[in-house]
Amino acid sequence: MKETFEVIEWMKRDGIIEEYAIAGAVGALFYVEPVSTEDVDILVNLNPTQNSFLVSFEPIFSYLHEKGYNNLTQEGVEIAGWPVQFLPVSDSLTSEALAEAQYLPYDDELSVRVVRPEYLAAEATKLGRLKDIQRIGSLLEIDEFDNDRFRQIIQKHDLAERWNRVQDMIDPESEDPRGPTIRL
Amino acid sequence: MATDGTPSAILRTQLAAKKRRRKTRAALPMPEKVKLLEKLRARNRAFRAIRERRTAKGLANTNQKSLSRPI
Repeated sequence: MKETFEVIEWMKRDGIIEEYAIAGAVGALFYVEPVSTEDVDILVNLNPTQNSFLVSFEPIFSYLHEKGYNNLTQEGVEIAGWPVQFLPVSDSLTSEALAEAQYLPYDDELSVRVVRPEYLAAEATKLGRLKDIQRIGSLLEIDEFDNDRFRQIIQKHDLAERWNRVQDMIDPESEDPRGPTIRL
Repeated sequence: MATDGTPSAILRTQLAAKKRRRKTRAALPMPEKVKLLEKLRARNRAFRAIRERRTAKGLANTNQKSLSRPI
């Protein structure tokens, strides 16, 4: 996976993508215990192509092709054994998640940009699948999770109703020590 | 950890132990976590392959051994 991250960093340095942040299960991996996933989700801000307002994946695929990463799978383009899905920012939540992402160390040599845990939880709240709810439960447990920041994100992006539903599924005021209850 | 032995106390103790294990795994360095993730991925792939083979044979995802021996 290190090579996968290195390639993404090169893409940024070479101007293929304007900005990126690791999201999804692999983003959450930086904060919580490993949970099985098949791909690496990368939130990206694509540079619009010349003379066009439209963004295109073509520069990404051309770049990867030149580097020898040609294998396209159902989950995405394979880079060093990991299918990578490039997810362009599509709404205010993902745009903010990308802008607020932080560099975290992978090891002593490499740091990568990762979506903050509060945004990972907000995105998971929006999606609301079983695996997302499980991820929220894990994220709520970590020390660096900022409850106030999360509350603000939820309210700003109209996710209060979804959050109340999700919260009842995670921890309906039980004695389950899975984390703080965040009432809106 | 000592409990008063009631089911809810036992459950609380078990949940607290699980939480401690989750925190320990969450605190591992990223390369270690990636190794664990790769193990999980390999295990899931193996399960999926078994499921697909069984489905292709028309068998249920149970211990059903053959089509002539229904569950």
